[in-house]
Amino acid sequence: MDALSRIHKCLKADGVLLDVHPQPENSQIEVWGDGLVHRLGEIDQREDNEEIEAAREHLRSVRREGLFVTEERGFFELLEHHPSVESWQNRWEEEGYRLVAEPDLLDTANALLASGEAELVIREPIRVTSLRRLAEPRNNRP
Amino acid sequence: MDFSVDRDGVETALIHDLVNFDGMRVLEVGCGDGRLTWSYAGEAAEVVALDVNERKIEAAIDACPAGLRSKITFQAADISSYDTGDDRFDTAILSYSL
Repeated sequence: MDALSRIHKCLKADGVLLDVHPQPENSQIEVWGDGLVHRLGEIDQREDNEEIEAAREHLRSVRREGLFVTEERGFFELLEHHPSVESWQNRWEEEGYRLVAEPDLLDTANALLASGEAELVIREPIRVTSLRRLAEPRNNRP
Repeated sequence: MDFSVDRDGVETALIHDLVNFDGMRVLEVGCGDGRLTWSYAGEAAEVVALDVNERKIEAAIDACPAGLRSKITFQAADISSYDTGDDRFDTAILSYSL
């Protein structure tokens, strides 16, 4: 049984599913320091973005089956703050994310962070959707 | 300085806008190190937090705030094969995973 069908079984009749997912967009890299925001560029997340699109399609398919109906949706930017490029790389490696960024970008970030007074900020767009469980899939209804 | 995520609480505010966790039984799928779990478990009656990664579950157990330990059950498990029996949840969270 797939994850969403299993969650449908685990929920009470009128239960709520909250889906928290990144948007299929590249995250932005910035360095904050001395009251300035240096926008350095973005991370190439093409492969991750394809997986996110596939997950969205799966979510759409269970809505079409009548397992859930969308109630509300919201968006925000999740900000990760790191003292160094190494801290960011270690964190993403632990999380299993792909980190594809131009070497020049990383060099610039390292140079800006060298003073020790600045921080690296990763800005990731996130979508949050609440979905209401429906009691019976469409194809089981009389 | 250690790394931090969502230090201004924007994520926490939004999920609370969308879901009322007061007294709810919550199933979280893909809890990771528990970062999101801590943000709502205080209001919930009970939380079952799953992640397929055993190392992350161990990290979440270690990092769990003392006041939440009695409410949260962490399990290294895949939702696709997870069996709750007759125990149903009010809310499920798909936390950055599908």
